[in-house]
Parts: sequence; structure tokens; C-alpha cells
Amino acid sequence: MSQIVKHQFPRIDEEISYIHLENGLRLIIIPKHGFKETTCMLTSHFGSLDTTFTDADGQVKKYPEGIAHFLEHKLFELANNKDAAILFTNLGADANAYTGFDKTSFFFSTTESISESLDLLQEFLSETHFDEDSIQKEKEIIGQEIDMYQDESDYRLYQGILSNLYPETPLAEDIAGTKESIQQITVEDLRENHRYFYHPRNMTLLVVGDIDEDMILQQVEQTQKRLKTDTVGLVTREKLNTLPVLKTQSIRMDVAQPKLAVGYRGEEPTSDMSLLRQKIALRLLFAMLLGWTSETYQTWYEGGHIDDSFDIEIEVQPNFQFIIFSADTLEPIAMSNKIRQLIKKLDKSSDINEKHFELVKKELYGDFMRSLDSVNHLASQFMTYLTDTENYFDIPQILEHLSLTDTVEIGKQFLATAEVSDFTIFPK
Amino acid sequence: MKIAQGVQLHLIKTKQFKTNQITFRFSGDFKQKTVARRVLVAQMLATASEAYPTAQAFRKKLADLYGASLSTKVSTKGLVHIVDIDIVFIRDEFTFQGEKLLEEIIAFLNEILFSPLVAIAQYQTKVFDVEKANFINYLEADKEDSFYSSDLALKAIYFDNPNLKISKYGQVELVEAENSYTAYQEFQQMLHKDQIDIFVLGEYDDYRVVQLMNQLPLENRTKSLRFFYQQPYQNVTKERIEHRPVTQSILQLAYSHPISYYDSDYYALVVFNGLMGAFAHSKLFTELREKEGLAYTIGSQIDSLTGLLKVYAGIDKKNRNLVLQLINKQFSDIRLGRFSGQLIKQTKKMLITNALAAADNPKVLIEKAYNDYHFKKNVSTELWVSNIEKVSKADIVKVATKVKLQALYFLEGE
Repeated sequence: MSQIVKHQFPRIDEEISYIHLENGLRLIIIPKHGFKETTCMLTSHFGSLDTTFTDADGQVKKYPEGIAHFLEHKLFELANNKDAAILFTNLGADANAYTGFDKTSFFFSTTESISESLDLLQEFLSETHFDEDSIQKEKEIIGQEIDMYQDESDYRLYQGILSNLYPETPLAEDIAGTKESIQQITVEDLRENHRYFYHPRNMTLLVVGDIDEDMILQQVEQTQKRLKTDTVGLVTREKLNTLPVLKTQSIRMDVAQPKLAVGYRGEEPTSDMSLLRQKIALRLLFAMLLGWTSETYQTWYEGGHIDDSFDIEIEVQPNFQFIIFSADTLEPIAMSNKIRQLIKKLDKSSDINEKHFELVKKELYGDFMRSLDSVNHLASQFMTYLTDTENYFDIPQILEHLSLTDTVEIGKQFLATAEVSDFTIFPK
Repeated sequence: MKIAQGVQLHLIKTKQFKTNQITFRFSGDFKQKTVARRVLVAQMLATASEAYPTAQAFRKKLADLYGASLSTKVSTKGLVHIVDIDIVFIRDEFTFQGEKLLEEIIAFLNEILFSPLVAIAQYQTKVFDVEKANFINYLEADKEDSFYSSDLALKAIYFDNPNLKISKYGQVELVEAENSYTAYQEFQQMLHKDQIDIFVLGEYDDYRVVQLMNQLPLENRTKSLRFFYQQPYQNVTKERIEHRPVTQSILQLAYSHPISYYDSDYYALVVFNGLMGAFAHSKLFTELREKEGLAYTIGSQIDSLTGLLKVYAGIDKKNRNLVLQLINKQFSDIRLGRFSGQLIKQTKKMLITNALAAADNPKVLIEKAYNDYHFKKNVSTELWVSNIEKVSKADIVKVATKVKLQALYFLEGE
């Protein structure tokens, strides 16, 4: 049996077991005592950004945008016209999947027959069964999905600012691709991508619930032995080709009031500093500067310049990092200037002080603790934060050791080389 | 436990969670006249108080309570309008210095209820006007959500009762007509006249909680709540089509059914809705989405308090008639018994899994405690499960014949 490595987090009363299986699959178990529901999530480290890469034989491959998401849909199709989602239902499990920038996760939640569902989860991702006909039909369904998002103004705003920050990269497009790009996807493309990315070395299996660890491990090992294991090597991903940002763009939509997004694109992190620490530092810094406990937020809110829709989104990934401020506001141009000025003069802000720092730390810690109370939510948070060296449960520790000086320093480093852009949606 | 007449304290003890939750619930009548006022009260309750007179001061206080999340929620249960204050906060043992967080939270609740931000019988206008303006913006923004706005449009044409024609959030014109005085007076009505239920869920010292809750100055009241609504079946199907410059078109259908929460048919209705449109294996999803590729979003929902079953689908406008035809076919197939035992089995299994998993969700546990108390029907999870298991194919067919199309709304895009 593979070795179980346990990590204890006594302060938050949690623990994790890590197991590296012989065939390369990473298995992670988080016991949650007293919970009725168990969530199992199998993730391929293959997302919407992985459209260009070099395979283990040195061949450069390029595929249409939206292929990871397309494959996510089609893997549910099994032999003899069966549908994996229905098989999960037969077992009383609720299954679903989502595609992100860097991963595709398939998961189910259930209160019974965990072993059967867990087998099914591993089996159905190990093979493909689609054909030309079903691919054509899927293009229709995904087309509807893309249309649906096109009507959502907040989604368009987010997509718009990303396409300004990362022009001509997959980040500039919907994770599902475009109606044009998905038309180019072929059966062969999908099979190749399945071979490159859906093998144990490129996958992580996470189990969260009140379960017997040894039993789960034994069962996963057996199932993995039974499934044919490809020996495909890992691919080398292209760096994100960062062209200069598009400074500003706008569109018109059927919205009640204008929507503004101001985005900062950071340089690819060069130091070997912890990404998690960096992300938390940026969250704390911008919560102090412009979060709802800040003087600035209060002044803008009272003045009717912004409302509750004001939001700060921070992404720190190995190959890209950005911060996006978004707001519904009647004066998008003035607001964009205000945000830029504030950030330029970050040093002068009276909101950045020790007392406020301790306050936002406490707040972030409380948010973190709340996220531990849902098995489903915890599973997805855990996968989002997982890297080779760090995991979600490291957050309290990082919070404890982060100083105000370090936090401000990390923010300044990010901003020193960051490029800024804005995107606006005006009413029709 | 009764704190005063019409004021009920529900203690739900569990060690499962790392956070505790308090829900303070007002229940009153769902009426056009008061809905907007109550919504504004909900907005004010989550914004400021006398001691924390700005949104910033209020947020700082919550951040200091270890990021306690305080939100207000407005909902309806049939003819009853509900305003909740939900506070979720970490258990004392997870604080940095062993603070008595629960006590501080109850003190804060006391503050926002009994020391609101007022200036002589009305809310302080500066803060109130900002909240009112924001709320109007949210209502305007909601109109952009095609599913939400078409759902409202469907209800407006379906329901005869004028109160049920409007959103639980009111509407722009209603909110515009209110002011800091009318909203504050409504808040006083709520505090003194509404049924009040207080739920405390988690791990805590019961004795202390009861003691602290008893200190809230809440006096006796008699509020009789009427939840259930039924309207007679009508021979004519009401129809309405509207155009909007959106990409996706939405079809919304309202069906009436005469089955209430207390009827023996209730469980068959739940199974019927499950196999029609509540899951990925459901008829609507497999036939219209998977087989025909006609819709990405499609499903059905029931409301057993108002006798409504609705079907919604996001489609391409050219497919409207085809989609309608196929939806009708799914209904008639079930009425004719043309569905498999396997489909029933799958549906029951999913319903049961969901019912069992609900024990992991504090909000669901609180909702169940409320329903048990007010509907005077305490159904344990075991009994619920066994009632679902007992539903036969004949029961489902019988229910299906009672479900009848009454209204159609089509939001036609470009």
C-alpha cells in the first residue's frame, strides 16, 4: 500500500492525508467528522489556457480555444449511448464538472454508495466514447451556453477587462471558447487532449467527508490498477504571450447603469516567494485601501459614487496575476481616475495602518473558518488553492506571520511593474 | 421555547460546524402596501445603527467580530413575507484570545434591533436615502436578468391575487414612494406585531443563550399567519410575449396543482417534479437538452404553498413552438404512464440523498425548524424518506393528471 502522509492543523481542528499512488495519481483525503455528505473531486490539470503546448516528444501542439471545456462536456458520454451523469444518479449521487483556466474538475456528492460512485468517477474519465454526431450536437449545446453568458453584463465586464489585459491569449476569450472556435474542434483533437491530460500523473483525486481513509485508499489503488494506465509524459506549457495591454475599451448593453472594471496586470512572479502568501498580502492590502472598512469606500459610498456591487478580485497564478476593481457607477470615467490616483498614492493613504491591518486579518480569518463548514465548498476551495508546496489550510499560519511592512512591500512590488487598463459597459 | 407570546426561541444544538449561526426572523403578511417598506427595513438593518452610524463603522464592527457575516434576507412563503437577519460567526474556541464572541454577537443584535439609527420617529435620512437609492438600482439591475424578470412576468399573469403578482422585493415604483418615516414606522410594526422566531444553531451554552435572549425587550403579540393560497383552475391559458434585445430567449410556463403540503398526494408531487425537471436525469433535461440540444438551461419547480408548478427554458427564439410541443409531450407521457420504473427509482434516490445531505446545511436545518413549528407538521427525515419511498407509479400518474397549464410567458430575444 502507498504511504499516507498526514498533515495536522490543530488550531483549526483539521487534517489532511496525502498519498502518491504508484501510477502517479495524487490522492488527498480531508476527514470531516459528523458530515452526512461526502464529496469526491477528480481534477485534470488541464484548463482553458492549455491550448498551446509541447508534448513529451517535443512536438508543438495547438488546439482551438474552448477545447478543455468541450472535452469536459463530452467525457460524460459513455459507451452504448450511456450518460455518466445518469449513472451517478442511479447511485444516488449528484455529479457535475467545471473548467477553469488551469484545471478541469469532475465531482460528485452523495450520502450513500460512496465506493461505487468513486469507482465510476475514475472509470468514466479514463476513456472516451464520443463520435462525430455527438460532437456536432454538443456544438449546439455549448453555443447556447456561450449565448447565455453573452447576456450577463457582469460576466461580459469580467471577460472584457481580461481581454484588455491579455489580448490574443486564451484569457481574452470565454473558458468555453467562441462559437467560431468550437466549430473547429474535431473528434481527433478531443481524443488527443484526453491522452495528453487525463492520465494519473496529471490528475488529483480529492475526497472530503466522514469516511474511512484506509478503505478509500485501498479501493482507489485497486481501481487504478484495473484501469489501463497510459505512460504519457507531462506536457510543457507555453508561457502566456503577454502583448501590451489595451488601455481602454467599452461596449453598449441593455444595463441600468454603467459598469466599470479597472484591471492591473502584474508581471509573472520571478521570485520563488510563496504564491499563497502573495495572494493573501494583496487581499489584505486592497481590503485596507479600498475595502468596505476603509475611509475611501465610505466616502465614495456615501457620495453615491459606488454601491454594494463594488468588488475587488485578485488572481495570483504561476503564469499570470491580476487585480480587478469593478463597480456599477454613474460616472465610470471619473471613477476610473479616482481608483488609479488612489493606487498611485498608496503610500499616502491613511487607511493603511496597523490597527486596520489587524482588523482585515481578523475578517479574512473569519471568512476562512466559515468556508470549512460546507463539504462541497471546501472541496472546491481546496482545489483552487492547491499547489505542489502549499494548500488551503496554510492560510491561518500565513495570516499570523504576515506583517504590515511585508504586505505593503508585496503590493508595491506588484504595482511597480503592473500595467493598467479599463473596460466599461454603457447603457444602450 | 416561548420568550413571549408570538416570540419563539429555537435552539438547534450541533457540534458539526466551526461556526455558529443566529437567525432572527420576522414573519408578516405579504402585501403590496408594505412589501417595499419591509425591504427597506431589511436594507437598513444590515447597514447602520446608533452606535455604528455609517456603513464603514458597521462593517468595522463586524470585521472585529472575526468577520462575522451579517446579512438580511427577504423571502416569501406563500402569503407570508419574511425578513431574516442572519449572523454567522466562528465558535469562541477558534478566536485568537478565547473571546466570548457569542455574547458579543447577541449584544450587537440587540443594538441593531433596539438602537437603530433614527432621528425623531424616522430613520436618519442621509443613510436611508443612500440605501433607498442603492436598492432601486438593484431592482433595476435585476430586470436585466432574463430568467428573473421572466419569472416575475409569468407570476404577474398567472396569479389572481394582486399581492402574489409582485416580487418579494417589491418594485421600483413602490420603493420610490416610501421614505425614512414610513420605513421606520413599518420597522416598529415588525418589532411589535410580527411573529418572531429566533434560531440559534451550533455549539454553545444553552443556559446563557436563553438568559441573553430573554433580555431582548420583546413583548407579547398575536400574529396569525396564513401561508397557503389556492386559486381555481381556469379554462383559458393566459399568454404573453415580450421582446427584448437579448441573445437568449426564455420560455416560462405556469401550471396549477391542487396539492398542498398536508395532502397525501404531496410526496407523489415531489417525485413527479423530480422526474420531470429537477435533476440531470429528468425528462426535460434528457429529452430537450441532451437528445435535442434545444436548451442549455431547463427545469421545473414546485411551490406547494401557492399551488404552482413552473417550467422554464432558455432557448433560441426560432425553436419556441418545438420546445413547447416537446414539453407538452413530456407531461402527456407521464399522464399516460409512459415512463420507466428506473426513472422513478433514480428520482427517489436523488431526493433522498438531498434530504439526508440537508443535515449538513445550517440554513436548511433552520428552515425545517420553522416549517415544523408553523405548519404544525413535524416530519422527521426518516418519515420523509419512507413517504417518498412509498410513492408508486400510479400515484405519480394521478398527480400528473391534476397538473394543468395555466399561463405562458415568452421573452423573445434577437
